Amino acid sequence: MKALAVDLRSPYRAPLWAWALIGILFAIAVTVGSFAYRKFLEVDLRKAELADLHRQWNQPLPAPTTVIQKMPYDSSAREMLALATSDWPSMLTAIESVGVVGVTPTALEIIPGERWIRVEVEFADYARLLEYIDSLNAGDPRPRWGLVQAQANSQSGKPAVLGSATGAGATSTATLRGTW
Amino acid sequence: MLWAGSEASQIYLSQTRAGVWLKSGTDQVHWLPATSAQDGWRQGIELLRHGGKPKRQRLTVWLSGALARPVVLESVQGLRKRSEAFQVAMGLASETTGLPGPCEIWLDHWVLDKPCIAVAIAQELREAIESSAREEKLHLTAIRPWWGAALNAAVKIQGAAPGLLAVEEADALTVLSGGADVLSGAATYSPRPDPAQTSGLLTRALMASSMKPAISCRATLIDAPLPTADAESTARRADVFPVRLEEIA
Repeated sequence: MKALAVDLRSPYRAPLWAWALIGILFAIAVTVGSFAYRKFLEVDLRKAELADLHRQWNQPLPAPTTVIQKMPYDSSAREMLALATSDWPSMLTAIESVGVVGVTPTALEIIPGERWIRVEVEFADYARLLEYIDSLNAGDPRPRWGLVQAQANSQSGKPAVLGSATGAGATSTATLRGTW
Repeated sequence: MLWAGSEASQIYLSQTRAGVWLKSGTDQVHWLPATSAQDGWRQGIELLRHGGKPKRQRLTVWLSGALARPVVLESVQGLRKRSEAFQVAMGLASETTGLPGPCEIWLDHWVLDKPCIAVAIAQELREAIESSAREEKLHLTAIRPWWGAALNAAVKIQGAAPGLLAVEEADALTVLSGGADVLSGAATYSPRPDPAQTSGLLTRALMASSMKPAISCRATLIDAPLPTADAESTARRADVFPVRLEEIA
């Protein structure tokens, strides 16, 4: 025969409140677990950011680059400044005061940015033209005026360049430039 | 003389009397006459309460063979699982044991195509015990048949050898028989037959099972006050409801 361990009690069933408690604990565990998981992910993200910052911190600094940007009004301002500080009025006065027979100014152009004045003249012959230029430069230790171009029209209709022979009664033009 | 019992306060219930042993009281068992098991249970609870026992104490309930009856579930063709065997045993329990009304059962280790022993208790009695225990805040450590304690005591002496055991209580006679490490026969006679009927019944059982009397035992519940020496032994071993084992002549 064999020994028996008989027990006639009802199989144990947990009461309702125990199941409710288990459910509450399970819900709490799930909540805490999900919260911890989110925080874990956040910590990972922060670690990655920190590593990135460390990497950036350890990188050598790039050489400073100076960006010079020209403003739109720059050229105008420089032009105005050149006009304001230039000596061109005295040069105009020289043109007005100098008069040589056979040389007539026909056009005048002031270029402040380049700091010079261009004068177109008509001349009868080269001797008078050179006399005119000398008169413009008279009394100035450093000559400001110079001949840029001269063109003498001969009667045959062919232009004569500087240094070439001139014909009487022809209309010749020259370009003078004065700088300051 | 052997002893069967446990460590918590204990109540023995039969159809005619109840025995109450308070763990922290005297070592003596209080025997109370009862008109039914439920009446004995109520009186036992009253005694526990009047004994000044605090609530939430542990309590072991022993049932006589008339209240917890063994039944052998023979191998049933088609059964595949223990749960199916449990349902079959529960369905057969009332008819096989003679217990009134629906029954609850305890089923031993069930093995496919092998007989298995079950123990049945009236559903009404178990509910009465458990519900009043809940009301009284008593912790039931177990509800056991007393004949089970007697069987375990006999096995302790005889081992797993084949044999026959007749357990005599006030209201029932339980006869168990089996081979090596197996229980193959179980029957409860309630009310308990008189001595002459019991003798004849055991003789017929021995002849039917072809067993020798030398390996057959009679176990009797001792419900009389014990001699002083035995009482001291009871106190030492914390066993309460003793069993006397003797060979069947």
